[in-house]
Amino acid sequence: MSDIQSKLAAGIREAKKQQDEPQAAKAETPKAAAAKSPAARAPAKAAPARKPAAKPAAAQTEKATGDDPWGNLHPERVWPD
Amino acid sequence: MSSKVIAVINQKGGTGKTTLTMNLAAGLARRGRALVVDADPQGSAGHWVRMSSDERPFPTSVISVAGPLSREVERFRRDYEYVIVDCPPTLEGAFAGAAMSVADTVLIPVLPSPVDLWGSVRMAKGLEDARMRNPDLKAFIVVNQVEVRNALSRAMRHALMEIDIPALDSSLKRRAIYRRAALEGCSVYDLGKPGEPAAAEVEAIIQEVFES
Repeated sequence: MSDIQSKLAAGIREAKKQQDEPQAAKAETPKAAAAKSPAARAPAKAAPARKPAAKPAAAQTEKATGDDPWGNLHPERVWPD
Repeated sequence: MSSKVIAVINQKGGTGKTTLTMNLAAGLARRGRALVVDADPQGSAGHWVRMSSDERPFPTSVISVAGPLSREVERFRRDYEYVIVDCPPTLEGAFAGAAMSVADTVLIPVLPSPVDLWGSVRMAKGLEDARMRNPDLKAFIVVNQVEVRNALSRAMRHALMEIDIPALDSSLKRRAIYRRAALEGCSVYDLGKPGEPAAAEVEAIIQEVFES
């Protein structure tokens, strides 16, 4: 067998392996989850929810609408003389 | 009427699905009524046929379907001896699965490149799933754009034995005439002497799949 042939064939075997591995992992996951006690799973449930990222001040000032044009002015806005 | 539905499919783009579809359709149209179903949202088969002239119209109609593919294709079986479905370059979504569930034969064009070859492993899995719904489905790899003096092209034949889909002995060589056929909206059968070697390749595929 030539070097090219053996490399092509090795690539196919690798692709097959990669395809089969995620399926094997999926098949095992429910069993693994069932084996854990509710107490063991609790910390995952109790994990604090991720806070939404604070929007930059510039983004907040963009909310001005035609209904309330003065409502969303930047609090530290410097009024011109 | 004994009708054959052929799905030309590969989840990878640029492997020559439409080239195979259109030239196969032209060859099959010489044997009986044939229809091309353009199931690819890119609409390449439709584009191909729109390039044809009034003096030399493409020998089959090309249609795209809006309704469920499997239902529509079953209807076409009544009126056509050959229905060739040009599938989108994906196994996700409704079209590829529907095409494989309704087809008699799947043809998978594969380029003689490592990436294309390795990608065909996914096709084998897709076929396995399709055969749960369509147990009689036949499938063949068609090596496309073969370069006879290229070592990689020669090595492909051996490497293909590692994939669980049989490869046809017949293949399509890398020829400019296939691109010219697309440009002129015709098939290699219509291009006279320059098209003859390519037409012979398509004929060999038809004979191997349907007449052997």
